[in-house]
Amino acid sequence: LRVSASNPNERYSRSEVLALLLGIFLLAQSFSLLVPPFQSPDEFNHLKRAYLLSRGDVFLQSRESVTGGDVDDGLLEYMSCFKGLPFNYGAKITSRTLHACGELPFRGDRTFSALPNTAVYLPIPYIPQAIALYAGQQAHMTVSDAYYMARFLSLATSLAILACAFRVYPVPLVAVSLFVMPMAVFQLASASLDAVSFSITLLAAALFMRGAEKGRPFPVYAHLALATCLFLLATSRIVYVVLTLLPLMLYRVQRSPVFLVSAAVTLSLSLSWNLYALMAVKGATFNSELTPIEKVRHYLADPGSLADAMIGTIFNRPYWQGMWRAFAGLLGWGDTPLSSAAYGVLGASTLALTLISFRWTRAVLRDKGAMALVLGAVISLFALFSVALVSLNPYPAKVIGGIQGRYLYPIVILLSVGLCRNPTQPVARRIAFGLFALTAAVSIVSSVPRLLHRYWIATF
Amino acid sequence: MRVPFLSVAPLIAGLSVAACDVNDRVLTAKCRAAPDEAIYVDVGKIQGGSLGLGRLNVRQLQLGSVLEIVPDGPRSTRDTVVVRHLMNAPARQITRSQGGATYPAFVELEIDMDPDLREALQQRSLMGVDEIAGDTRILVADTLLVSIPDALERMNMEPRMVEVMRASHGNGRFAVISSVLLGGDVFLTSSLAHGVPVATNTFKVAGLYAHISYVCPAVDHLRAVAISSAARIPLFVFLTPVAYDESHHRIVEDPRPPDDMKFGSIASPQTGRH
Repeated sequence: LRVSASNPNERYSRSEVLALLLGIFLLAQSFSLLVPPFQSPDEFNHLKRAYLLSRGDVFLQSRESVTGGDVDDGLLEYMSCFKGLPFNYGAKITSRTLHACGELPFRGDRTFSALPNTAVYLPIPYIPQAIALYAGQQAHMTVSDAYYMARFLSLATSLAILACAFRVYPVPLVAVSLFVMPMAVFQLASASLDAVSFSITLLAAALFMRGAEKGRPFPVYAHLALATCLFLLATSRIVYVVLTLLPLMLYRVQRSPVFLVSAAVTLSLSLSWNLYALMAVKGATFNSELTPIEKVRHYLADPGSLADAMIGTIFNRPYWQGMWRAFAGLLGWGDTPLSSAAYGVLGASTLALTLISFRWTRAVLRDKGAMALVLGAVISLFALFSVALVSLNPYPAKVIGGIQGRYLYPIVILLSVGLCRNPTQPVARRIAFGLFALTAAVSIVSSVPRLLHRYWIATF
Repeated sequence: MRVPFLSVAPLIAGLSVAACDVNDRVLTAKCRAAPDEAIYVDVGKIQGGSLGLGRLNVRQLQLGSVLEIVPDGPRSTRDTVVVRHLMNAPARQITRSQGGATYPAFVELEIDMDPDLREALQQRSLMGVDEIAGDTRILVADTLLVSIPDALERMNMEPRMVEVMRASHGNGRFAVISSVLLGGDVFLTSSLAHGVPVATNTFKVAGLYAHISYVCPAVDHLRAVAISSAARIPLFVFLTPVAYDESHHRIVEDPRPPDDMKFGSIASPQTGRH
């Protein structure tokens, strides 16, 4: 599949692609050295899910009203070493912790452990972490070594997926710059699901835009790759189910009924998994006395309460300021903010890069592929807030809480691929690369001191 | 020369600004040492009624345990005796909320902070001890609230239970653990309702990031137990005070509030009192 674009100047040279990937790799590895294990939100449960996958457990069991699985005692012991860090700024890593926990082996004995929030995901994106944990056990490595290998393989897989995206489509630099934002780098450095799912989103968007180009063949393997990406997205977050319909647009362009079939199959499989997860997984959070379905009924019966929640969210300036901070970089378990200056510079550089890359001409409106991607992103955004409203908030809600900034990354990636293009003028292109470099540099300059203080240096 | 400058200028300017780090201060909120149970949780209204306040279950008491709390025990200390456990009393989940949940907490705190942070807070009339205590919440992972809905009836169905209470002649106060809040992990956290929040347990004042760090040995101990347990453990217990009614010869709910029922050292029915 040859990279394509209406304007060849939008493409990257091989050295540029290598530089971008190497930059992301170095950033993420730097973070990985500084961040102790399990400091990404819910990373404990993400790794348990990967461990269970390494044992071949795809469908998990429930005991005492909570879904989980039998996890190695050595892994659980290793996890407990780092459970005191989240939400407690005063807690730091000590040499005693590193020494005591770094040598823990896999025990072989297993104990049931709950992981309801990650049990709802189809575990395929955890394959890199699962391979690392499996190999670690087979090679009698320490749990710590296996864990860091899981981080590394997750990052390497993500970068390989990004490389595929560059191969098929000139992904706008503004979309790539999202991967060097502190929040994304932090997630790329972790062993959680986000690294792979962000990359899969970019690859799905790239494949779709490539397939939506008129007069260009779209090979079967590319089509299969797109369907797989969309399926993985829709089974890792239910709000992206609508994206499985994107092949319908490719049918209009490519005029092949196979796209209708793939849309139907992907949608059916995604809905099947999500339905299974909703029915089988016990203990997933809904912090209310009403079930989500009951809340939907209440909101439909009283549209005024729905309007209150929407207005209370949309016109809530502190809410969006907090959302921006969480999107740009609220590290750790949401307990490690960057400086206000860093948020400002990251905002300015992202805005400038978006303005330079934005397709200001009306041609974007005639680009059905781009519009379909944007529509999919907007519907996913609406679905994200709707699901949060009825699952994470009490009824009636005044503001839709519970949405973390990182949840928005796939949506913003889709929007940026749909609405932006790489600038073609040499000067604008150079400025765009300068802004990208600025974002990456600010990530390092602003995050490293914060991470050092958060995890390693006692404040007094 | 303009093009390189355009490329490099924002990089230098942006980096210079972003390199301005903030100063961190840790505001340590220490739970008062004793009694251990003086950390309460309010789970709100359940099925139209209230369970009262739940007590931190440092003693690892179980649902269905009947306690006798003797104000002045043999060693001039308060004793708490687990007189019996309700037999064959099925527990029932009484809330539908599940997963992670936060609840208002009631806890006495001692606040320790650097002088410059204290001064900044005083100047802005922000976040005194009362506000920090009032903003404190309990975060429970894998939460489940279970109850014995007919605990009094169950007690009256056990003759030995009635006999024990009748024989006490009002020397102590009795209570049954009628509900427990189970969980797989527990934290203290702040809602930061009185500050300018920038992150979990972090607020901003006078250019400083103030991080609230809770130091509560009782909570930490229970956390350690919860984390190392395969199943959820009872993190908080809810008491229903009970008394023997001489006129009707049966156990009834004690109308006196449970608030002053402070636990003493625990003895089990097998070992007797200390």
